[in-house]
Amino acid sequence: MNALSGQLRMGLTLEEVEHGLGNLPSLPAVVAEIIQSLDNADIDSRQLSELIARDQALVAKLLRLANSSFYGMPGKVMSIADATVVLGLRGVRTLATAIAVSGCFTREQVGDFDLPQFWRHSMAAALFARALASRLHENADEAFTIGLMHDIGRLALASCFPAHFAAVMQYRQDNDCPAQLAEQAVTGVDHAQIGRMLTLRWKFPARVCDVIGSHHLPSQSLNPRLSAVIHVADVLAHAMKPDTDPLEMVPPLQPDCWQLTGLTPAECSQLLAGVQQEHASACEALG
Amino acid sequence: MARQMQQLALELVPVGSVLAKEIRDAGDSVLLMAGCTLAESTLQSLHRRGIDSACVYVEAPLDPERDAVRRQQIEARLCQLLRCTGDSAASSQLKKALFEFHLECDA
Repeated sequence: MNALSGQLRMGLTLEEVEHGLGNLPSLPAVVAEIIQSLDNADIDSRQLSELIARDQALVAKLLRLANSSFYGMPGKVMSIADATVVLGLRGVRTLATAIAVSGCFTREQVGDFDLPQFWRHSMAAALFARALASRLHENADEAFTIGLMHDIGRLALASCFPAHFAAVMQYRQDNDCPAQLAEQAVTGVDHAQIGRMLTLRWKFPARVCDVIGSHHLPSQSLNPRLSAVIHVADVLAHAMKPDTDPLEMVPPLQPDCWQLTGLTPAECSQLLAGVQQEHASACEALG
Repeated sequence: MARQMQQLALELVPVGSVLAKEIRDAGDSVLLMAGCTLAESTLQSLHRRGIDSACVYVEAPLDPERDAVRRQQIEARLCQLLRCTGDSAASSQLKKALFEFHLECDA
């Protein structure tokens, strides 16, 4: 890798990042309550339905999602109560969170950032994370949420610090390196750290923030198994992308995380095929 | 024999074929996902909805030269994509899995 040229160095302090994140729109109050309920095992379907019903835009999107081909029950889910039956209580909370967070970043906010491609990658990682978590007897819905959110720091970097993001992209082009290394080289922080800061700010459960912040270095996580699941899911999601982007590369794979999954090449190949089948309808469902 | 994808007119699709690519309606909504097995009733339903062709897997004689070229293309693609994953046993297993996946799916 080349030495970093002076004109590309655009260091960010954690205080500057925190200040920049403060310019993002706040999450709707209902969504904030749903997020805080993610680690509350005692909430029941009635309480959750009442909570979600306070945000009619969210209700409409959730019902559209529950009626999509992804869940295989088109036209049959008429209410949030029905949705909790189809998707499960945890599934409804997970998807409400995903819908709300994806709605916080518009095309206008992120400039040239490829938002559709970002969500396609995030959805692939979410699907892999769910499958791997089930295999390892971890919480599959939680893994799905984290998979969907794992790169949210990239979106925040592009949205809050567009000049820094452009410099990172230029650095990647010049040095052919993974995103997190380019971010560290140019700004001194990476998208995993920024994602952790953003999700802490949004008051996500501590476990979610920790795993998002350590998905490239799972050994540093307080939740190493779940972090390893997200790490491998991210790697597989990169590996599944069509080869249209010359900058695209699969990030470095941590061998211990791979070993933890216990996947053989044949099982992994089947998993790739399964996620590829689900991916289009899942992306369409999220809209 | 090798499994290949082929776009066929709906009336030529054999009952029991496996869909290789999803089918969407005029509004771009997904009607059937890749991997579905096409029963006779499904084919009739697709016909009623104005779908005139489907991409399905068909068994075709293996062309050794063409197969070798395709394997080389997949290998080159994976070398480019996996250029920073390192040379651990885990990375080798990942590459093997991806090779099998592309060999099966990109036919």
